[in-house]
Amino acid sequence: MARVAWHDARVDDRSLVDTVLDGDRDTFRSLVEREQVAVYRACLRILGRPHDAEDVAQESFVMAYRALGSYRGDGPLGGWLMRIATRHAFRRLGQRRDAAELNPEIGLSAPASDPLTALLSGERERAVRLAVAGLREPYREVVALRFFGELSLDAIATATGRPLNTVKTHLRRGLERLRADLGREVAA
Amino acid sequence: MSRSPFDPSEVDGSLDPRDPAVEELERYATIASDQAPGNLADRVMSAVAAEPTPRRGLMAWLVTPPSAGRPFARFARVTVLGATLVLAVAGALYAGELARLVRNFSVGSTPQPSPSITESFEPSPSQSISPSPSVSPVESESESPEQSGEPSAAATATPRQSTSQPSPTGSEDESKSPSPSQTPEETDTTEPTSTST
Repeated sequence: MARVAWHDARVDDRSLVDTVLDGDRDTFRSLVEREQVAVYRACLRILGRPHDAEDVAQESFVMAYRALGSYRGDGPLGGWLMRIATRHAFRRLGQRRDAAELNPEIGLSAPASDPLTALLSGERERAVRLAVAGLREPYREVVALRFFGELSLDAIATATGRPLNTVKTHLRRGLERLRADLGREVAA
Repeated sequence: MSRSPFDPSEVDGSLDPRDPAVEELERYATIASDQAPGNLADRVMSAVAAEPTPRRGLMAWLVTPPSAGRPFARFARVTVLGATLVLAVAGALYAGELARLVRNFSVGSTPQPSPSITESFEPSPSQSISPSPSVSPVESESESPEQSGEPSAAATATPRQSTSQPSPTGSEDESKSPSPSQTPEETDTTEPTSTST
């Protein structure tokens, strides 16, 4: 049985969105406050830089606000938002990788007393990020939504409009490819 | 651990619980912060304040302004919509033309009105023919008062004569009539003549 993520808490998102579409921006603020932790965390896990993650999370919410009329209400709003955010974060990551790496990523984990340990830990985190970012679609999206966005497979299926079994297959194949990529990274 | 740790049973148990990729991802997920920046909601709302109220449905998709990093997004949307409309119209026209060609082809190869006539008229000559050779000509005369009391020989002759009759109307039937006495074509040609006579 699939574990249910916290995003799946049944709230009548459709009615909240309708309220926003009727011009009530305070309702949108409550939606932002409800989802901001998950969205920011997913962006941080993808990008590895708090400042970038904050920018991308903010832009994702604005993008979601603009496109709110296209939300059909057939799944939790958190999944819909998370899909926008992860896509935007990967897009930003691609732009960043295209540009020169002037500002190296910092490690997300707590600073270690030993500099060598901190360095190794940071390298390992970077390897995971790059391995996930290097996956082909749709595997990358499913892996990111499940592990970085912490959505349940049901929520991913609803958010992406794919059958649940297809999502399971994508996740399994994504993990297989990730295993091979991470093995190469570790060996290198 | 992350807030909703991965369970291999989610993918129907086909994964090893100690899968190294899952372990790496789970370990990585635990280290990212669980707290959003304090002013994120304020920043979002100040950015949203400059935005118009979002629209619903298809208009939301069309009218949504492109994001900063995608200046050609609206152009791409309109292009996609236009291309879809053009394709739909072209597809409808092509389908109509194809249907017309198929209809013409089927009409040219097999004449449609004749089979309906043959089915309705075929039994009557065969019934009148079959008793005539077996039974004496007297019976056949008495049985068919409508056909001017002609004997069975006349009845058997009429189909073959009639096969030669349609030749002025269609050359295809003439080529078919000398060929073996196939029931469909021959009866096709016989019936119009029998009805006309």
